[in-house]
Amino acid sequence: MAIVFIRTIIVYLSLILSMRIMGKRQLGELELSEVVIAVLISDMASHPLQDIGVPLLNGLIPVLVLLCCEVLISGLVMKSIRFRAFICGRPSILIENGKIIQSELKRNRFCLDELTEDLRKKGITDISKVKYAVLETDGTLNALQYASEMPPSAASLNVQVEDFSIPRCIISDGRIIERTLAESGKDFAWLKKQLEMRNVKDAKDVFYMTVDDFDKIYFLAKENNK
Amino acid sequence: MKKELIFGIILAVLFALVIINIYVLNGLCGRLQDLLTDSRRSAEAGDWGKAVEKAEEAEQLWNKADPYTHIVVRHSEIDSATDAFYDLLKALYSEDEGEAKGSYMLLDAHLTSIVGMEKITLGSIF
Repeated sequence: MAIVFIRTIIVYLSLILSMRIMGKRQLGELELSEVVIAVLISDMASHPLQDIGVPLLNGLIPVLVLLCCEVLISGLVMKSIRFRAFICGRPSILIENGKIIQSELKRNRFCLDELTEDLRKKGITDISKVKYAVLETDGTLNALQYASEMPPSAASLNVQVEDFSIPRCIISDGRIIERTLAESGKDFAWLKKQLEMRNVKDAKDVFYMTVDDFDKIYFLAKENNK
Repeated sequence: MKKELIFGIILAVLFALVIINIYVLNGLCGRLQDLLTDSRRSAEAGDWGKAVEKAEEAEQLWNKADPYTHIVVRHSEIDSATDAFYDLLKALYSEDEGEAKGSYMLLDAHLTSIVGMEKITLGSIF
């Protein structure tokens, strides 16, 4: 058991280190420690399942140790900027003012084809129009074009537009979601009134009903009750 | 930070438990090896009755610890050790000196291996 415990910590730390050295482009969209956890847990937990001769604890202890490591590492990442930089790395600017920074490209082992491919995915074909392209710590590339290349916003055009809010679901498949009803500042009397206005006697006859901050209601009755 | 503290404590408790497990296994195998040593000395002295008695005592102790050992030791290791116990008893019942000697060595090797697998050494970790 102790060997399993120590081995888990060693494997976890060595995977973090090796994947950190491998660089961001290996990560995809997960943070480094999340990738390591995903890789390890899926494999370790399966051993006692495949081999009944292995005590279940041999599978459970590594998972629990990894969980603790992950919580501790993520806590330290939140607390310490230096530790965060060590574990997650720092964002790298690959393009600045329309110019590719070749040293950063090389440092991140990011080839030109990959860079242009990622830019094309964002609808950018002309590198000279990119103000900044940043390779984030999770391995994704974010590109910001020059202000002159950006689509105009309503504010920049001095156009008045209606604001929006997220609709809250208050009835889902016949069930009243009391929490969201209260969050919306509404009560059962209001809901009853709204249902009566739509010729519905019971919330059970409603498939989906939402309300937003501007009291805009979306209502859909159940099909078999129509 | 409370969450990190809780998980830090869980990690420390887990580590403490695995260390306790080493001591418990060490103690169990130590007692078994002591009994087997007594049994072997008796067998070497020609006192087969006492040799059997001590070996049976060790076998009972081993079987009594089964609920615990099955949780913390690989089942294949437990089965090998149990087989070695019965081989030893068979040799002692038949008063076969040569077979008994080999069985003592085999059983001792199994028990040493169980303890060795759990001991924290560079060899066992890597």
